[in-house]
Amino acid sequence: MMVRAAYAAAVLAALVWLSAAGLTVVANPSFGAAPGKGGPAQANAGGRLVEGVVRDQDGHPVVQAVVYLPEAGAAPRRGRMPRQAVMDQVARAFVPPALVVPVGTTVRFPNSDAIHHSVYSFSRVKRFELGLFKGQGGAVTFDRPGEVKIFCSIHKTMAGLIVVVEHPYAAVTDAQGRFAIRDVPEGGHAIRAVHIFSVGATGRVAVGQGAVRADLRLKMVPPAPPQQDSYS
Amino acid sequence: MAISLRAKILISSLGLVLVLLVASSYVLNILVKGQVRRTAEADLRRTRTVFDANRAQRARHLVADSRLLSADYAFRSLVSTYDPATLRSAAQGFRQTLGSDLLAVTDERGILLAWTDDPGRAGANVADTPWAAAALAGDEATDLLAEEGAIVQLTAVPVRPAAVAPDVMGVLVLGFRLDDRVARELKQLTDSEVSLAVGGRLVASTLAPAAREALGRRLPEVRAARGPLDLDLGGERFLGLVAPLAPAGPAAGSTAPQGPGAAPVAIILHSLEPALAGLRRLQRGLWLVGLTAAGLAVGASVLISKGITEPVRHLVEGTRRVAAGVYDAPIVVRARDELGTLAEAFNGMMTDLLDRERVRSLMQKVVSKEIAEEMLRGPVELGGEEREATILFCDIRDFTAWTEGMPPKALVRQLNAYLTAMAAAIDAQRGVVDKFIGDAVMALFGVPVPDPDHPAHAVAAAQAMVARLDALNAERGGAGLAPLRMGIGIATGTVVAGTMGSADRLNYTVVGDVVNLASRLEGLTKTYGAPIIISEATHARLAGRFGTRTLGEVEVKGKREAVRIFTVEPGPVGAGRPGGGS
Repeated sequence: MMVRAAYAAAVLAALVWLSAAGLTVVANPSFGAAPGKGGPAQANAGGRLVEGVVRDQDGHPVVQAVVYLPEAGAAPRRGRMPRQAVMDQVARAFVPPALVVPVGTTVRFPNSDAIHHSVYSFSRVKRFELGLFKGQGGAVTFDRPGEVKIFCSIHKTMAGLIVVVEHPYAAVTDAQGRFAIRDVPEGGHAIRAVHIFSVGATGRVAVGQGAVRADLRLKMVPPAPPQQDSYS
Repeated sequence: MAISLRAKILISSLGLVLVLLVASSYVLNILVKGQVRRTAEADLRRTRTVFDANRAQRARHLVADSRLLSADYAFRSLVSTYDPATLRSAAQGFRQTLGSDLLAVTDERGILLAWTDDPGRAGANVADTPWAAAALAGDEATDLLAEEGAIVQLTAVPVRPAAVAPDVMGVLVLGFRLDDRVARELKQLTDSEVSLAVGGRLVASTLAPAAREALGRRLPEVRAARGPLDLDLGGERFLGLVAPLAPAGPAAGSTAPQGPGAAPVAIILHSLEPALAGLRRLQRGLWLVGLTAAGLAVGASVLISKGITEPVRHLVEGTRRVAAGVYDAPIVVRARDELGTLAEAFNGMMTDLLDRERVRSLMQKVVSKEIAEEMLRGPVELGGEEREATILFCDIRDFTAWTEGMPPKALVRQLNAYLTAMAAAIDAQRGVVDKFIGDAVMALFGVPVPDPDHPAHAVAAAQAMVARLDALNAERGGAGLAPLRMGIGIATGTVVAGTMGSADRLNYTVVGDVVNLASRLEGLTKTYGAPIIISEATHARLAGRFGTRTLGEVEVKGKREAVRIFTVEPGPVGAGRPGGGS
């Protein structure tokens, strides 16, 4: 319970900070400075900022899309804390719906609902099936970089996205679809956006001193209508 | 060359029936063959429609099965292992469960993980095939695979990690083979022969081995045909239709060979034999009926012609009998038709002729032949005409004394012998016995048959009568009978000749002063002792051809002056005969 409470506190803190910052910028705790301890300062210091908006095929902003640089290679770790993260299941939805974690992170999948869930992923990066469970659930360690889409085998509408990265250059879009990635090494990079309801899209961005704008467009597949059952 | 009525009727009726028979047979043949062909074409089109519908339905079932299987959690989990050996072992089980002929799985890059027909294909990249490309892009696709002599109808659907996921983690392929079994099922449904070909090779057929082989040989020619084609395969006639096979469903393109001569086709054949056998049965029935009708026509025409020719023959015979003068044998015709009427009329005519002949013969006995002919020639009318004629009267001298004490039969016999002889003499000179008055004879010359030389004929007749009486008397002398003596008076002049009497009873006769004169001259023979006395008018017309002598003059009633009378010398008849005496 202690561990769980700590995770919850960390997530809450991150959320509070994020909303205060107004940008969904994920400066992972595992990479670089810890949140609230100089992240913004560091982000402003380099000035090598890639920012933009992710929109769908109709031009609407896409929330909870993960934007990262897939070919940036491994960056040196800046911390030795065991990497841990949580993707909760609340009201038949994964919370948060999108996560970015460094390679080696163990993600726990607790079930906060009163019904069973059966969390699985058939992704090439990490294939796992936790089976039916309530409460604590299992934990999965993601030891290879890549995109992992997570579903519940008994609830069609439940879907989550975890992007495993080996560098800090990643962000999750905010309610307006905006993202910002800081401290990006200078040079040309592939930049990729992905969402639980999209197969993703990849573009290129040339990063120099100062901010670079990189808007991305995703083809979204409309999610199936919510599953009808007696759960409330 | 004359053709008998019977033959004409027979030939025409038989010819009519045969022409009708041949014509109906021909028309029947044309109509039925056309109908057979139209029906066969309709059958072919229906078979094609059924085949397409059948394949479309199978494709829908395959898609439905594919969707169900691809959405199955266990199947998704299985695919996510991306382990060819595991997938291969599991795929056979799924294929059997679904009852499909083929089940294949690729990964998200289009690399084959399992292919139930050919495990060796695992690892091959099929991402470039239209169906795999479509499925990897998230769409469902159908296609026709034509390889290794088989046509496979397949469907490809994407496999996703979850229903809501846009990501494709692999492709599921299900297929059914278009083979002999499919062809047989189609044949059961449509009764058409179905063959399937790829390129120059038959891959399935419901045909019997011989016909199948024949079709295989003629495949290029058959494939090139446009529209329905007539085929003779192994001695059986077919109507055929070549239908290109298209993927039954949404196709992104096709991996099957394309173009004429290569693309997979269905060759649908409909045997014409059953229908043609039906036509032959129909024709046989028609000919049977037709020939029976011809036989009946022959019989009927024989009967009819007999019904015509028999009465005609009787009529001909009757006519011949009539021509021969036989009137009392009526012909027998039972027919109640026109011929019966004709025969009745003929018989009526014969009766009339018979009656007339009876009358004629009777009249010829009662009256002279010439008068009878005259009377029978036309309607008998009262009245007469003025003609010039010579009248002869003849009477037996002392008749009353002669007949006294003689038995009546002997009298009649002797009288008849006398009168017959006299009549014969008159006849011989174109005279006509007008009437017998007891022993007297009144004869006419120049009427009713005109005779320009009637006075001479009358005188010649008188001479002949005298001669005949002499001959008769010679016979009588031989028989011990007394000789007969007679007187003959002849006068020439105008008389009124005609049929006279009442409406019921008529006589052809003449009246006039000349008749009285002749009678009076006959009476004068006693006074003058001459057997023949002729009037002046008669004498004037003889032109000296007879020896005559004047006897004197007599008073004649109705004449102011006395009339001279002459007697004729009883010279040889031949010297004075005028006109040859025929």
